Amino acid sequence: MKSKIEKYKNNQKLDLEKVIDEYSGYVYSIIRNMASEYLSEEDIEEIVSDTFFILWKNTDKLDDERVLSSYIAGITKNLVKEKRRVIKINFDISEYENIMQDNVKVDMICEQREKVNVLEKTVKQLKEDDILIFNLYYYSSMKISEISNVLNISDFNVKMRLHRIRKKIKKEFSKGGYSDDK
Amino acid sequence: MINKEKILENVKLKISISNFGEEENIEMKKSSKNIFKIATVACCLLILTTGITFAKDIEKFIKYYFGDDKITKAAEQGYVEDVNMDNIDTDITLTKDETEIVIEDINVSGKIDEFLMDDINLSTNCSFTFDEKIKEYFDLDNLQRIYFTDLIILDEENRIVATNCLKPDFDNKCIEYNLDYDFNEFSSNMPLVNTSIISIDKDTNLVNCNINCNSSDEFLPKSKELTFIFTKMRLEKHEEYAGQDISNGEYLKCDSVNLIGDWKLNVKVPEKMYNREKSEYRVVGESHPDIKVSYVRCSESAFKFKAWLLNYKQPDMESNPVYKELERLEELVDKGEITWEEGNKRIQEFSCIEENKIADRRWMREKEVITRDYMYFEENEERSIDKITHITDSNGKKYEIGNSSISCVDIEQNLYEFTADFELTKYNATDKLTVTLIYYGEPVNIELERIKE
Repeated sequence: MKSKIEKYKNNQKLDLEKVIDEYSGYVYSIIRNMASEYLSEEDIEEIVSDTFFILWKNTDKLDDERVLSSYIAGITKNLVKEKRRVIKINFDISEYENIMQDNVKVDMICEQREKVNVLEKTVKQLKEDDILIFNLYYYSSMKISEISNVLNISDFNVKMRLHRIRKKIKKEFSKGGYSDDK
Repeated sequence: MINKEKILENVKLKISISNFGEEENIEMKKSSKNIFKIATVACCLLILTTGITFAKDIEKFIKYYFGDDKITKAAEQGYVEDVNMDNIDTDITLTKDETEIVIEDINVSGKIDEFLMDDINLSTNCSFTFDEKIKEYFDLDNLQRIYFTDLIILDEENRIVATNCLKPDFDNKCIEYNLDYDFNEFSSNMPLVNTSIISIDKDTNLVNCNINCNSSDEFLPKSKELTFIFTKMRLEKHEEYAGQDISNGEYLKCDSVNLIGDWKLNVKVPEKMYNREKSEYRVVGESHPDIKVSYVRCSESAFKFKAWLLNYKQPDMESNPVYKELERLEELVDKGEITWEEGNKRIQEFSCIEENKIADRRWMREKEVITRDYMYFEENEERSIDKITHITDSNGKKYEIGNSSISCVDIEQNLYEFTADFELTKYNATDKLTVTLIYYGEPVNIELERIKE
């Protein structure tokens, strides 16, 4: 776990699949060691996912010369602290400070994460096909015509579904007290 | 223990949501910022439906692919290479979607017959001969689509000229061939690959197909050698065949087989194709304040025009009557009045009814400044004027835009792109040209002048 960030970057983009493949076990162990008795498997999974999401959001700020594990451990530790506050459990975290190999700082994008978490529940309730379309469009950056080719449905159908997905999400977004400023 | 796949899916979803949020914010600033945003346009390639013809010689190749009865200027100039390639045999493994049958040791031989390459197009005619054994699992006579889902075209400098790969295959190919590319970066501006079937000879199990790559904003590289590499070939039956099953409630059933092999087809690019000069035009004078030309290019095979439509407004989908019905069906599912399966089936059926397709296109034509689905309109329908109608050269000669043109709007980026193959090329384009298009019902002339290097 001493590999530098640059190993995981390709043209300044983080190779998320590689990072998750190599580090999810590491994150999991940190959480288990820190707070296994207080956290459910679901909580742990949430923290692991959030760790990689925060890392991805901070890609531009990561120093290529540093080891990736230091960032990952730092984010994980902060997320566990945060979770501890939420579930109001106190424990001494100082013994885990040595996990941090360097004093690295990342933006924990708290507000953004909160918004994402609000919407995640809504998106997860969508039909499997719709989640696929949503991910192909917003994660894989595929164009409507490419999605329609891949899924063998019409452009119109893709447009219509995206429209509905957006509408649903926006509705939930405003329910959660957020506004899209439109 | 941790489920890595689930974690990856969760993170992807979070990223999608985050990107969605950011994009929504960006959209609000569109009126002031979007004109500076450069993005590729997703083009729809016109699939010619003039019947099946064998393309055994270059003239027919041009006629077939570009749908023109005239011998083109490019062919006159010898701008098509006839490749004398021997068939390359590949043993494949066949899998069938529905039945999960897996068959090994079927032979497929393939070769490239003809190709052309310039700044805008790389078009290749290939032929594949299938082992007789394939007929036991797939009816070649009804073959409608052929896909090379992990196709990657490399040149002698290990540059990716074009690819069909999605990220996982792309990353694997990069590792296998030691390519220094990032999928997200490359895919934002990569040439689009389309495959179409030219002919099927059921006696010899010979399938001729065309692989066409259209450049995006980048010029295609001046490659001296090309290698077409792919391991996956997917054969699908006629859409009509699948459609017949609607009455049995089995719409969407698509008979298909996947062939896994190892194809590497290599061709030398003749000097006349890689030793080529760029030809670009710039706007002179005033045209229309809403239309900002990004670039105009001419190659040996095509004319390409791209512009931002500064005041283009995406129409409200909810005013579309077809959409309303689809939404009603979705609501029935949401309320639990019909099952998801039933709803999905009804939506698919509804989307496939011809009059609904026409109603949707009519709505789009009324609401959108330029209808990107234009070319699929029925011939007897009134011609939409929301597209480039013609180009006039400095001698007053008009080039009407024919069947072999692509005209589309990228609804996300407000970009209009137009490409005409073999209408107006480097061989007949004069130094000054006038592009005429109709913008919200009004003709707009855009005066162009060739940029001298």
